[in-house]
Amino acid sequence: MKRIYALEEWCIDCRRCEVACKTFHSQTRDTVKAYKLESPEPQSRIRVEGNKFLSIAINCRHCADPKCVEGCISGAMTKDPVTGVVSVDQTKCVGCRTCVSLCPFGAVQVVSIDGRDKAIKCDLCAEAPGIPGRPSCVETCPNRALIYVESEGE
Amino acid sequence: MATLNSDYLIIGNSAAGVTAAETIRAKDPYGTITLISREPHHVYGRPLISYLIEGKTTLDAMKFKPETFYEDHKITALLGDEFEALTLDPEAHEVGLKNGDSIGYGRCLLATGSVPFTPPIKGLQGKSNVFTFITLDDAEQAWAAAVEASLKASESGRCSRVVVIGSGLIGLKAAEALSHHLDEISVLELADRILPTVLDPEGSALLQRLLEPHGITCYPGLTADEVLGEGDQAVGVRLTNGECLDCDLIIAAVGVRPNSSLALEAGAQSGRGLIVDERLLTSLPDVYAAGDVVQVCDVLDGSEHPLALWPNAMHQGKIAGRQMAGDETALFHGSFAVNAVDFFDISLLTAGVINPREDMGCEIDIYAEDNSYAKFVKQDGKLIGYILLNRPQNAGIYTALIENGVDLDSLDQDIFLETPQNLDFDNEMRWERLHKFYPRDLDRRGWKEKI
Ligand SMILES: Cc1cc2nc3c(=O)[nH]c(=O)nc-3n(C[C@H](O)[C@H](O)[C@H](O)COP(=O)(O)OP(=O)(O)OC[C@H]3O[C@@H](n4cnc5c(N)ncnc54)[C@H](O)[C@@H]3O)c2cc1C
Repeated sequence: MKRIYALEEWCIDCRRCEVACKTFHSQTRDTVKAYKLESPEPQSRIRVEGNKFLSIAINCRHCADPKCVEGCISGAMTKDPVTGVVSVDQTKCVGCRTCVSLCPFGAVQVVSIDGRDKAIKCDLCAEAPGIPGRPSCVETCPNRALIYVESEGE
Repeated sequence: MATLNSDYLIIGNSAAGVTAAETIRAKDPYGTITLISREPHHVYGRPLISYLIEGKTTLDAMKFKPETFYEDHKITALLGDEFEALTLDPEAHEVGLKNGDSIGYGRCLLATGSVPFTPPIKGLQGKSNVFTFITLDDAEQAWAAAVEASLKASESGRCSRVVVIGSGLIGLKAAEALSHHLDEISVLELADRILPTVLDPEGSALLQRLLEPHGITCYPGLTADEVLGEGDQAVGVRLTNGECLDCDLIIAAVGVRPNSSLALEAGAQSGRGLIVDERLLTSLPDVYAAGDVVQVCDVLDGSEHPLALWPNAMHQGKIAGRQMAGDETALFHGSFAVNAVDFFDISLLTAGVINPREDMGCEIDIYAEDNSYAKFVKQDGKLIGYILLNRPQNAGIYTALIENGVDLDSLDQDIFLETPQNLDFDNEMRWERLHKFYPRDLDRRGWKEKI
């Protein structure tokens, strides 16, 4: 499958990936509205760790054998057997945080959406569940510090 | 002669059984798979029964697999009380059902889970308002009783009350769920603190304090001496200190034990759960076991006990399925406990060794604030356990440190102080972790290598 990889050599901590992710995962897909007006506030699924000297963007690795899927008590977290995309169905998620306790990268977060705790994570900017789109973090990265390339594994 | 024959027979329609069936089908498109359960429901997330009562999920949303799962995977699912397996004949490769039918199998999986342990408390037996809290049916009955109790209590202008016996994960999840319907929730605990197996004294005390504003009062060090009844109704509980608590219903949640009787009667070896080898094969020929029913070796301290957790059942179901379908490379190498549980807005994550014995020579770090508590247990320069009460962020990074036995000296020393990060790993390990399956023809700058 195609995966997103972060290259810390090029990352300049600008956090535009976070802005692009939040915008894509908003109702209006408009950055200003996403940040200032929408409720519930949309959330970025990518997060930059570090500072000006050393930084790296972290999002879901879409593992071959994902622990978040194996552990999910509700069946909300699944890996698409064809595309390999790991997604969470928020209508099923109950916010127990088993996924948070198992993801080795800190790539799943549980946030409050309309008063209910729900897991959120990178879905490769899918327009339909499990079908990867064009990851907006990669498109927006000014430095090629995020690349979206065919990987060596499922 | 068996009434029905199946290449694969799976007993249990939950995490382990369903995962095994799905895995078998992926490996073997033609073998016949029969899956039986004494519960009449489509597979559901067992841990979700408390969320159902709270309105955080629905009967439909808690289905663990899509509606058409069994058809899609060509699995014959026999679901209902009449399909309870009563006998297992390992020689004849046959299982006898309650309805008198028998099923012949090539390979059989016991994924029968846990059954509640019934405490020998005087007066508890035979009361119609005493419930266990294991199955969807249990939950629906307790829920209906709570709604009725709440109505009756408000008609007569008094508080509605439940006594929960046992403050393990199941007892506390039942308490949380029922607190949405009842006024006073009393939780009894024989040990000197609540959630004794997954918390330490400080963590238990904090959790107990955080539960109080939600109408949940815990009584550590006390349990029920006698259930006081009127006819078939429990109306109160006399505690071990002589005091009495009135109640409208009781939840009995003192613990679970492996549901292994079928295999035991057939002569299978067992310790604290069914004994299996790395292939998850029991001592009976062609009989595998997975999930709560199995005794697992704890990789952190070598102890042997059942690991009654959903992710473990899923993991073992996958391995058993692969083995049964002939993939002998899938092996089970032991595990350790990772518990994730939430109560109201409280999050509790724990893993590994939480209360190390003196002689284990562990070092312990504690970071406590008003409403949060973090404890890290280290041994020989490695992390072997943690408690994270209200500090869940990125917890899986800690779990991975335990699982992979990462040398803590190689990490940023602040990793335990606050939210752990990927940047806390050294360059090499960080690259390895984050770049699995990285294209071979690219270098670390993302450039095609010059040849
Ligand atoms: C209220 C509650 C909350 C929980 N919360 C969590 C949690 O948050 N996180 C977590 O990790 N774990 C949790 N658990 C534990 C988790 O549910 C179990 O570890 C898991 O369900 C084990 O799966 P299993 O497939 O081994 O068996 P089970 O889920 O116990 O299923 C056993 C299956 O076997 C069937 N069966 C049994 N005997 C027979 C027979 N003789 N004939 C036919 N069918 C039979 C049953 O009908 C059922 O389908 C919770 C459990 C409960 C009860």
